[in-house]
Amino acid sequence: MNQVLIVGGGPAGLTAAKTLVDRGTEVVLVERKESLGGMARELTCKGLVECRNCGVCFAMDRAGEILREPNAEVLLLSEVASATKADHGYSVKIKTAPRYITDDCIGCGKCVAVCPVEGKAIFPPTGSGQPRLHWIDKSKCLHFKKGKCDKCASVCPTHAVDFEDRAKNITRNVNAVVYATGIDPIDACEMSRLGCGILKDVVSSVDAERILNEKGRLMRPSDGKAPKKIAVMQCVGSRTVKVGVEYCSKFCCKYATKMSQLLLDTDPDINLDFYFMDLRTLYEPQDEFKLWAKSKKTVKLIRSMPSVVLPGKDGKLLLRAAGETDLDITETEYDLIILSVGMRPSGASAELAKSLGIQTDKSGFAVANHELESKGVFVCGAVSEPMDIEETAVRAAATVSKMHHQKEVGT
Amino acid sequence: MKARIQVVLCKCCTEMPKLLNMEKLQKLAEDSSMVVSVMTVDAVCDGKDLARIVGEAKEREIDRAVVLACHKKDISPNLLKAYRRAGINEFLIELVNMREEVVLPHADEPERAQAKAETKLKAALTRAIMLAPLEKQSEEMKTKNVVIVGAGVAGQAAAHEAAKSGAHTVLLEKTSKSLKVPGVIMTHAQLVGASGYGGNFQLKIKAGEKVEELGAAAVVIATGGGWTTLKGPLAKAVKDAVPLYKFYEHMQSGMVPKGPVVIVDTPDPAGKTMKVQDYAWDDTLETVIQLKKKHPELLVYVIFQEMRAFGLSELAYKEAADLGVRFIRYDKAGAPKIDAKNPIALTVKDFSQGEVLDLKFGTLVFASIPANQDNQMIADALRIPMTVDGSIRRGSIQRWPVTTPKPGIFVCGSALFPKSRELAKAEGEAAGTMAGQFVKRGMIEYGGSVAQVTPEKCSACLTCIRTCPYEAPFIGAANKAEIKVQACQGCGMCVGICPSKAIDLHHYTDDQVMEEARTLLGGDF
Repeated sequence: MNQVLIVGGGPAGLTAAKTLVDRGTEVVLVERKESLGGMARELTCKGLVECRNCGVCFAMDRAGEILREPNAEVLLLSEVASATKADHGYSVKIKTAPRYITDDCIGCGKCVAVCPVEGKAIFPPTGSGQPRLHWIDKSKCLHFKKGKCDKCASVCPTHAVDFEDRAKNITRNVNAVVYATGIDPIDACEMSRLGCGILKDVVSSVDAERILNEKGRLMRPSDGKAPKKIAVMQCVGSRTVKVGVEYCSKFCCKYATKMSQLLLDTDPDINLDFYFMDLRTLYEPQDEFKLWAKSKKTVKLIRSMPSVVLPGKDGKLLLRAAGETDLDITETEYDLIILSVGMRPSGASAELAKSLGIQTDKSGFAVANHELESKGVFVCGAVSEPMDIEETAVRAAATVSKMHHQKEVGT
Repeated sequence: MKARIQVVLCKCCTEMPKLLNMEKLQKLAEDSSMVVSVMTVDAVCDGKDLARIVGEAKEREIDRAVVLACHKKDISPNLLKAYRRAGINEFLIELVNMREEVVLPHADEPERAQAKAETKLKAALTRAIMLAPLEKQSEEMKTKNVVIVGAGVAGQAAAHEAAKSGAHTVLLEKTSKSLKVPGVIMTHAQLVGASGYGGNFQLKIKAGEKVEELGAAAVVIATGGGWTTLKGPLAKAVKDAVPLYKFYEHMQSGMVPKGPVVIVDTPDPAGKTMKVQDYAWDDTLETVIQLKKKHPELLVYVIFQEMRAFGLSELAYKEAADLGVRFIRYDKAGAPKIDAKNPIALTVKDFSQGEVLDLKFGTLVFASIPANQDNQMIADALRIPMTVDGSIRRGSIQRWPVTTPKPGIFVCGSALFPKSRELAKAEGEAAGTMAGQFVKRGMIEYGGSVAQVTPEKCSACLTCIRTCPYEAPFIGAANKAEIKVQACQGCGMCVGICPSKAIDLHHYTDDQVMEEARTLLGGDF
């Protein structure tokens, strides 16, 4: 038997799974949430006119492939309860929560419309997550609370609602474990001086991406109007000492620059100011973004970190920032401010990680080392250090090759 | 032309009827000529509906179909499979993305949405009548060779990986260094020419003095950065300036550097192109931290345009600053200058403070990694695009990372842009894996939507040959252009540029495109 457990169904886990399956290895993929894709589910494709190589579709395409793969067992809404060392690897116990919706679901959304619970108890998959199956939150659903509501079941055209679904305990014996739990975005509201959580029109980049992914257009949350003057602010929560994290989150410049280009593609009249410390766009030749910004009359790159956002006149936002040379202070009004947030590793110090012997460094990232790998535990993806989707994919493929290398030498 | 068309209108559960008048669309389809069957279904993605559609197709003996549903990616695999079972060629099925092109963008304007939907339906019907069936073919790969250009960190990793999938690896190395890698190693070898297509390349390799021909299934480019080629006014003014890797070697061997050390990102700071990308940020920080720890009293300056201390390198940046390394940012207007008469002093304008600084230095180090000069030759040989920086341009990430736009050619390491050894190794492994898997398939599939030349119209002007990025056209035995179908990717560039309009792209012929456009835009446009 040759099986590998993959913890986490984000870009790293999916790429690792696909590469393993291509090499003839069976995989068990355990994902905590209801659909595959991880962080990429809520991110938007940034190529309205041309492909901007943001990598979001890469992760989502792999999710679709893995679901069709006969050698991959995908366990959603599941968590690894324990992993104990066995003869040739690990014996893992997996707890799978019931979904209450079968594979017959075609994602029409009729059930969500009729659900009487405030805030709904039946949900579509988050963002562009795969598979496109709905799921029921047991703690909110009236069928389980009061024992009589079955509105969603009666309206479902394919009879996909199954209240008899039960939680499962699954045991698998695997040869190796790939630990790819990914990241959590930093909460922009930790930086309260920038108005997040106080002013409605200050949104984090995660929210902006989600709205763009769902609606295709970005609106002001306060009045639903199209913004005409936007500020994008880098390094919110990253590269700071007092709040947030000290390291650079690496991918924020990449997505923020591409999102700015997307915003200009959707509406060429937008005035966009881009506040940054260092422009660390990855993989882009010759600072393509700088050249692009130069070619657009309405885009300004400002090397400065704004100090505070205040409410301005007529519902606008007032942003105070030092000039590029630290010698002057400017105040500018904006319709919408986007805060580019960084990341923190997710689950690097969870119980499972500890029982597998994964240690963390001083920034909280899981440390991959040879000792761990010789025991059959491979740390992969952004839980080990900051990286973007493209690098994650590269490193996941490299991790798989390491795994096969060890099998050949027989350690 | 005779056709029996089936029209399928997908409701997308409830989404389409909410906005569109489905009865009107159905009526429009029914009234069109050559339409024999119109069906409105709840969801094409549902297996039961799909079975109904195919059942109807068989019963009415339809020979082509127009399906109005959602994105190709979502429905096409199952839909095409089902139609294939009913004996209908996949190129005879016209898919219209109603959901993303009509319903979502026009959610607030039902009238415009209805008009657009009707026009799109009419255009699809016009096009469907003109479609012709096409078949795909396959060819065996002649060799299992994977040629890896460059035997650095990335190249060696790629060789190890590709060999695991059963590929025969051939490593080309410019110098004579000896290596422990699987497969053949050719020293003093360079890739000078290539022809063919992914799966069956014919490469010309210059090994020593003679040029050899070699067949290859895949090529991995791992040329790395060009440390040794430092040119610019600063390098000219200061004769004993060293590149960073040499300085690091000297430091490791215990040499004490002379006087204040100044590390500049590039020897050509005021040059036409701002080569900020080239900066070896990781290595610079590692070097200055070691230097400062060994010699705390030594003055160390780092002069740069953009400090790209990605990810956890940021902590090294902070550590270096804490140790007392002085970081000075400049922009092009205040670029560092050296007086040729007094080559121990450097003038630079600090960007954030606005002050002009005069620095006396003992050692000048360049931390620049310019793109490898061999890239140009390799890109010309394989006909793949380059970036303005002179490195190899990667393909779209949609077809996996470390690929180039041309199938069968992979690129990794600093050939893309300067990066750390560890990441270069990971990229090499990924590229090797992909090349290995590519070779393992043993077959290439081709055909379908490809270009074709009408020999009577061709004047053999060679325009198509110069234009094609995939080297598909060639002059055949009849002195007319022909298309190598295996290499053609169906991009249509030759079709557009041919001065005698002798080339047609199957599935997108002039007639098909013009008729569709005429219906979409109305009348004579």
